[in-house]
Amino acid sequence: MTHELERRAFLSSCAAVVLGLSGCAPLLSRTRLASLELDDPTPDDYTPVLRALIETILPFDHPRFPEIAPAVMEARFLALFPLEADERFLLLRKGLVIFDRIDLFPELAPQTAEEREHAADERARYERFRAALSRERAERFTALTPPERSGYLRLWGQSAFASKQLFYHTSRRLVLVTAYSEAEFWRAIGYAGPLLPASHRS
Amino acid sequence: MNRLVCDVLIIGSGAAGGVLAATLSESGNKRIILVEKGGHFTHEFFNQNELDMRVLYAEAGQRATADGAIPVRGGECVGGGTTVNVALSFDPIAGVWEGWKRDFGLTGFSFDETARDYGIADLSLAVATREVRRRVNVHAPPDDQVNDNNRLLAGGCASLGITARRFELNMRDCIGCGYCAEGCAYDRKQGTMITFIADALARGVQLIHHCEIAQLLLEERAGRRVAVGARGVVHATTPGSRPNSVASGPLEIRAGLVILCGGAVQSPALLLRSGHPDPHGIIGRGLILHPSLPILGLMDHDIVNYRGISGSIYSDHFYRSHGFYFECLFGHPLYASVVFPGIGADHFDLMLGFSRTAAFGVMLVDSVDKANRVEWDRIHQRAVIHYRLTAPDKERLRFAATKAVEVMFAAGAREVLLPSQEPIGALPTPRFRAPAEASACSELQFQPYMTTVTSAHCQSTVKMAEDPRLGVVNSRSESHDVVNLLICDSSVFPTSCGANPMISIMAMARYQGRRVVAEWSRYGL
Repeated sequence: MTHELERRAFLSSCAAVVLGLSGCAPLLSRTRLASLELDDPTPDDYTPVLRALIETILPFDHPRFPEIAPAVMEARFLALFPLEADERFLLLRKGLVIFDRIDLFPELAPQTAEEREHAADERARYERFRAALSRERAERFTALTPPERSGYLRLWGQSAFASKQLFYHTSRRLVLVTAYSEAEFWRAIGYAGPLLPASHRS
Repeated sequence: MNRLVCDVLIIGSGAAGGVLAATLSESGNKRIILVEKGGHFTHEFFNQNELDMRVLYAEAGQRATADGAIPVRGGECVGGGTTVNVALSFDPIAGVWEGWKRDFGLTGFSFDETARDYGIADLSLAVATREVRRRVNVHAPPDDQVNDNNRLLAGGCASLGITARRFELNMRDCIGCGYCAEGCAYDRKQGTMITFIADALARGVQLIHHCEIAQLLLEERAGRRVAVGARGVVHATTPGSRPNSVASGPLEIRAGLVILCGGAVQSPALLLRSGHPDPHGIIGRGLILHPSLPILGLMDHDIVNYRGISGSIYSDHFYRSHGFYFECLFGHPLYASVVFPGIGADHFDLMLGFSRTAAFGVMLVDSVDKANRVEWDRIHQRAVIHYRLTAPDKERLRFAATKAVEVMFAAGAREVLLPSQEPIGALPTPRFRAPAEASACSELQFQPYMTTVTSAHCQSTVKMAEDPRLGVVNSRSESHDVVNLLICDSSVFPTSCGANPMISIMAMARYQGRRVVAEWSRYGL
């Protein structure tokens, strides 16, 4: 990791995460500002986070999980969603880097009245999560144990803040789409696949 | 720039545009151009792969509300929604249209086949509906086409004394492959592409696909604003699509009559970016989505769920009292994987139960809220959908969820779950192990993202009303402010049409098409 994020950059970049992950929507003006404040991460910055995320969403150690390595899933993900080659994924790249920084989780200022109402709960949940970590100084998602990674991802998924929810749902969706569009996953769950007319099969 | 001239330009080839193209071409003496933003994909392209078939959907199936919380699925290809829907066919509901006549001053749209609306022979919504039903072969499927998943919903409802009914569907000799939402590889679903549009093309209508209309051409004539055509760009043809009828590049089409059928997202967006007058600030406002809530039931035995007709059973038991339906549907693995909640082993264990999972949806007939709207983002040149459930709609959805969980247990489910991360009552998430727990649904908050809510029935953003303060178009679908401009799609419904909208849209389009043919001179044609 080469990027040290300024707190201010994080705050505005969270808005970027929201908009950028929403169908890779075009940037709004404030996200354009965020783009200037946060350097474009390199693959060395975000691919370890992506790998750890894939390993958290998909249970590779499950006895009935298809025999497939995390590296293969990562390669398939990047083939479907070319994060580096397609500029529409710029904000996802940044989102992954932000997500990795556990200490930044409680720094996002509430954007709406609804979020303000839940801000104290949000911090309390985070503090409970931090207190349960095996290492006091753990700062990175990528440095956590597998159960801790799951707990951290769920922290995002159960957040009352839209930006964190959106990151959770989008990253989860992209990983699951990568997996369940493949025949070995279909076989694992007992799905027989398409039933095409003879003219299609020839 | 390519320049074309025609009598009638129809923008959008979905449930409305396809029917209008066919109906207007019946008069045989008008040059008609039908343009479509998406591609022209036909049965040999439909490979039943969920990922590949994203090309049939708006924004590759990723369209959502501005906050990303509610997916808003819609077809964007020749045939529009009728190419990718699951063929559920509800006739126009008389009570809804009578309410529109009362509250919005609508005229015509008679439900009496002997009526002569506007003094035109055989012009009634009843006749239009009958003609549409015949062309797309609307019928109830026989018993042997009702699969296990649908039988479970019927059985669950029956156990609780809840009325369940057989859907009517626009199919012909369905083989039951189960892939309606990926386009029918067998051409058995009778969408507009293989029915009305095929008729229109046979009668000489020109179809231009991959055509993105940038703006309507509006001119001032004798103190009135007049629609004279549209301008846009024809994109390169997507692999797998049929060839286009014009070369790619900028395109301008001049027309005597412009009919906008872009749907409830794109129609208001096009009006707003074209500078259509909006003196009362109502274009795009009052969006209806029919928010839907998936209900999953984990059974102890394998069932047939993804083969056969996806939806053949529904319940309208609570429609009059609470405004919602139970509608049986099922998804394939890619869709299911996203809907099934959780991560890691929790999620995978649910996926391992794919062949033992039953599912149906609650579909809410939502109420109008002006804050729910479609806007045109001029800076980023895109339509933006703003939508939040209203407090009364949340209350109805809580009741619907409670009843739905009870029905799923009555159907034999061992566990029932909602795709949600909301803690409710003593439960960390809505995963129920006994019918008595269903009452915890009364605590659902439906905060954005926390509980999965989906949608596919956008309506009511360019409302029809005789009073220009209430609606953008009159009962003839004519713009109140622009001459020779008709808007005719689900956007003109003043409120929800009360059910899955396809046949209501098609019948309205057939009705307006027959009326226009009888009144060409009204448009100088």
